[in-house]
Amino acid sequence: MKSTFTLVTLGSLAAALTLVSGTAHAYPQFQMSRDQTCTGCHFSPAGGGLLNENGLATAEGISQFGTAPEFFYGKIPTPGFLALGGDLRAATGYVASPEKLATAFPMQADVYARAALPAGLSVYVNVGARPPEVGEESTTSVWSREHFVTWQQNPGENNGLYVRLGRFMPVFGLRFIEHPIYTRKWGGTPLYSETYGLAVEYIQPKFEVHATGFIKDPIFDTPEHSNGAAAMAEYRLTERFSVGAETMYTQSVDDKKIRVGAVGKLLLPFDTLLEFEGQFVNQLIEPRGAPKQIVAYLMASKPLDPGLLIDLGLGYFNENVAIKQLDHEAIDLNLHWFMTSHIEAIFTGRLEMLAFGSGGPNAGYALAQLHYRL
Amino acid sequence: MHRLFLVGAIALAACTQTDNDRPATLEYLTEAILQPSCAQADCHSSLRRERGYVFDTVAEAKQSLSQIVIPTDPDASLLYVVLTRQILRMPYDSPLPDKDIALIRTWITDGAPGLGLDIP
Repeated sequence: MKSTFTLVTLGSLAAALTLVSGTAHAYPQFQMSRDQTCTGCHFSPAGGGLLNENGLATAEGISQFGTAPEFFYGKIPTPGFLALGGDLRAATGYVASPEKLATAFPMQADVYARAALPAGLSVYVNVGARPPEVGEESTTSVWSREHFVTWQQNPGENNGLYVRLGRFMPVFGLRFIEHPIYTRKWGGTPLYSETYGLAVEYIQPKFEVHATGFIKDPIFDTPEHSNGAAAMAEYRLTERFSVGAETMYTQSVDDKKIRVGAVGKLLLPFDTLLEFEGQFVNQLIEPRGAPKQIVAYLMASKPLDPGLLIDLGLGYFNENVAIKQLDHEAIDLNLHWFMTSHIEAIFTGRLEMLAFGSGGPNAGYALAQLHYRL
Repeated sequence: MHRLFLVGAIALAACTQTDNDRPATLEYLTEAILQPSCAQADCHSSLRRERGYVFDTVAEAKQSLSQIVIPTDPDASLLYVVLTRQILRMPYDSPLPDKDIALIRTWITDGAPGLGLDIP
């Protein structure tokens, strides 16, 4: 009995880690209603991680109880050229996959530093906990997912030309925070798939273009085993409507993939944002096999006072469009409560089906997550 | 416009769908099924190596599958058992479609070609 309990406990932990352990990125849900670009609130041209001055003000403005948004509430003063921050996350909840498990687990412990240097240069470094390699726990529990040098055409502003060199996730897709979202999980940017790359990015309020060439990590054996290139362009037709196009090519020793996709954002009345991403994926497997896939996601987001944000998402993934009943569907419901400038509680729920219920067992989860931003 | 294109692509694909004529090879199973579904970051990836099994490259998958597949006998192969059992079923977050499991069963029944194991 004890061994069964242990197995179930280990299983639930692994299941939960698979589901939602992860990293903090931008909230694309704020784009258009709060700012036009990711750089409006973040230092990184890709969004995510450290907040800039406007991002800190936004964090304070959207939260129910305010509080000083700076690093450690401003109690630890830093020189003007240095920005510090961090994210801590943990979750508990219920998983049905299809067996039913209760679970609780840590998700994230990351700290960030960004130092502005002369001549438009800056250095950005993240250090955090990583899932230990089984059998090598003592040596591999800390790593740096992101570290890069940026040259910025207009230092101190959030537009213009950026050139980045280092380890980061290629800019591709809508870049939702929740990595189980299909367009992240199966759309080219799964969890921990940062690579070493060179990115050239041009950002204006009206449009932005990102092009990245990358190679797999030569040090850590991460889930991304490919070298490749990605490009994404987004044009804001109006202050409420934008369209974009994206493509990515990856090549590993085992396969090649070409992704071509489109994104769209539409800010509806009552502050409701619709975001869409669809990709067509052509995979070539040697010596034979060339599954063609479709992955798509549609999310509707609405801020609710005081300090709430609700998302309803629909995911679709067809792992081989030539074969019947290989499609996955998901319905996601997220409720974010921004209690203070630093504390966020999130309820995340998912129902998942295979071929609309006829291709295999259904699954789902309901999790409560606590996020503390340093 | 892009939604119309997507709907059209799905509709076109649905019209030409076949039953399950995919290649039952080690390379195909690894890259089209095991890697995307089982080798996500915190599970059977090279990064995590959960329970010592890794499925994110063909070479790693070959080594791992050699331990959990008995050629020609899917019902005695741990790989097939964990994909179909009711308790601690894999993958935890998103069960595989029945047709993926059927393809894996076919591959094992065919002697698990590519693993280099002797057929009992």
